[in-house]
Amino acid sequence: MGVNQLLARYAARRAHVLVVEVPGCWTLRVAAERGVTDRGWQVTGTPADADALLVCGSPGADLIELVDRVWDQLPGPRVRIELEDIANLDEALESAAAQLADIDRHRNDALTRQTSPDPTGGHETDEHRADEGMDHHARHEGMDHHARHEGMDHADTSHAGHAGHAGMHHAGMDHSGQEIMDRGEHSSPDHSAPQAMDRSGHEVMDRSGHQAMSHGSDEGMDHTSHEGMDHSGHGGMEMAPHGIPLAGRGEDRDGLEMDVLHLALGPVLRYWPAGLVLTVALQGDLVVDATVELLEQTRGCDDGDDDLSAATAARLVDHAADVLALSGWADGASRAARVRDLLLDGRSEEAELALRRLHRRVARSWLLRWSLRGAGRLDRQVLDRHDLPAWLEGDAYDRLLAILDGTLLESLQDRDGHGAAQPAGAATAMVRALPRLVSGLDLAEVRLLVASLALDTAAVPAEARHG
Amino acid sequence: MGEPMVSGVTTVAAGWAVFAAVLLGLLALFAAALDGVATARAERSVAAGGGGRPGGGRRGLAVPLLEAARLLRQCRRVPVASDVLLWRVGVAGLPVLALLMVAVVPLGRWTLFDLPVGVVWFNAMDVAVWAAVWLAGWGPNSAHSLVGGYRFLAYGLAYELPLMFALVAPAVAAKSLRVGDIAAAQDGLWFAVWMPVAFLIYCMGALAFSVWGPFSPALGADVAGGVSAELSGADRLLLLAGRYALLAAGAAFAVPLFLGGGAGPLLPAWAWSLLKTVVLLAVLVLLRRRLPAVRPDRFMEVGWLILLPAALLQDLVIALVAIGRQ
Repeated sequence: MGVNQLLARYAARRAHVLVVEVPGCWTLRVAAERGVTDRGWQVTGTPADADALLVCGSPGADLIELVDRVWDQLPGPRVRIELEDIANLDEALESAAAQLADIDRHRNDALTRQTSPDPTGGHETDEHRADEGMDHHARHEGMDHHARHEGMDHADTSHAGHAGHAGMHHAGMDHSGQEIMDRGEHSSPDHSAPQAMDRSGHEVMDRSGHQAMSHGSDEGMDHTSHEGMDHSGHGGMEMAPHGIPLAGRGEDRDGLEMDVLHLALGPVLRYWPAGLVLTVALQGDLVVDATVELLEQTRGCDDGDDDLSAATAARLVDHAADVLALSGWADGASRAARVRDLLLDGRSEEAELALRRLHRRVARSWLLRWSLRGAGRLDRQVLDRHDLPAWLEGDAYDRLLAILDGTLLESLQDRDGHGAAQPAGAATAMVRALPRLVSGLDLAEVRLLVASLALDTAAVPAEARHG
Repeated sequence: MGEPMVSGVTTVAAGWAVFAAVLLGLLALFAAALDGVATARAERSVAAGGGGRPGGGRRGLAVPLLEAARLLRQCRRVPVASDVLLWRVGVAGLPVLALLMVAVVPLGRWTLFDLPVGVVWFNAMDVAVWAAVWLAGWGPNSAHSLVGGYRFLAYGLAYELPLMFALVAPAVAAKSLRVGDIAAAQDGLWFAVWMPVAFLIYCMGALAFSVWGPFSPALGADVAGGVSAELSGADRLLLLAGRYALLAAGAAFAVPLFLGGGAGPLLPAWAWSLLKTVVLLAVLVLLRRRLPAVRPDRFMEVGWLILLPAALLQDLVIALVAIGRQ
């Protein structure tokens, strides 16, 4: 008991917190992150590393579901904090610290859950483990020993209507939504020689490459869905270890056949616009296709009667901090975060000085320039085609400088020098154009591109969110 | 117990391996604490006017211990359909490889393992890091981890050959692959001074095989931690500790190879070895926050078009000098 207690006490002094920003709650999220670092805690980017899940704002139904699934992925001891008002921040963190240090509570929690998160969406209660399918950790077997087999589109065929697996296709959270599906060319199983299936229709395959089928039900498969598939060559089973279909394949940019993984970026993803979900088809780390979705806007947060101008400036610098953090320059990101905090605290003179210094450093850093040059380049034609604002021209480095040197801020201010939120038209155009913009980029570039757009998802009007 | 060798290095009993492990652990702890302090300083609150809250940058000192407590207490999370065996092999491989690296590094006059081909041994261990990091990325069955693994391999293709040729230079100059001989050959003049290119490329290689600083995109924030994205509890602790241990091993090996080994005035040889290691390790640690990441695709060009020819030229110059001296 003594050792446990001691470990718990020390551990609670260094909690890692996964922060979820509800769209429209930027101010709250920044305040929460500051509160976390001020305690000597750390903000983390992955549920596996998190001790606490901090939700900033009141999420809508779709986000709640995703947050629940992220919650399942916290290894524990774990604490969940719902923060709706900045005023409660200290209190919330204090109580989180107390809960983290409470041993008995976590013992009970640990006893009632599984070591692997439950994929089916039924949280914590589901007892079967053998045939779990989940969207979080889809297998990419197709890459090595199962190279001859193609996966199938899970959504359309095998598991349709399979209640236990209904959860598989929720557009996921950051690294949770890795559904692996085949895009288009489904190869078909040989139906004339049905393989034995287990009761539920999910054979768990072992790693030595035995084949299994993942058809939905015993009482006949949906043959119509396999029409027009090629039966040639491939062993043609849909491989579904643990109910997860294998990666499908497609031609890569060199014309070679390569696995396609589907991965949802956002909405629980650090350095990423709140509520944005970009589902990408990946070959290696190259994005070959993408679809975009914005989560429903809830009533958001009441940002109070802050100085709008300072808030806009702080928000822009925060985007710069995101770009710097993604570029791997930790000191640069910390400096940008300090400028942001100074702006939010109304210390504009200090902030201006610090911002100018940061801008100078960024402009002088040849290593940063070299590393960011060409990343997410947008030229004039692309901007015109998608109705994007002119300041986006150039690469991530150009946009970073534009954010830091204040030209962007000026362009957002009205004649009286009052700051304004991002124009709804520009934000909507950015979101709509995203799938086109990211196609052909690698994952690192996609992240730099999205961060450097300084996109404010809350500015997108509700009627433009679907369609 | 020890038998004197040509190089003046004494092999100690195998039991001292425990001591070597403890020493490596302490160096790793030092590296982690230093990084903790640097981070705490950079992230200090603006509210307290720069000084930070009580504790300030000093608070960072305790970070490695608090983190260790936290991770020891955290449950192990296993993603569905993960390749647990390979995953754990990869993660645990990092500290083990670091230990195998320092096995051939003499501490002053003593060494655990006086291999005639010590340099090759070290090189083999650093190549094995490829496998460990890749397996750690492959194992958890997660796209982000896998992308992290790819990234590390991409770096590997670019940094490994220049690193190998950088290791060749001191060996050629000392006409031996025995680490003790190389240290002894730097009589009065450190190899770092007359083969600076090889030394710099070696340091870059040490950063790279430790997945540190500019070479950390395999663990990048843009892929939710990459190779480490799914690690929790003791597994994460092993990976993080292994990374610091590799950095420490990289710094330790540079001492006999480029920094004159235990040679130095006043202090005993072991103290000089340790001191030089600590200083180089501190420099490598502090570079992390200061430099942006080098994207793997960009670095490929640098590795093959600049670093590799530079390392070869360095080797050529060293070889010519070595022949001329005979």
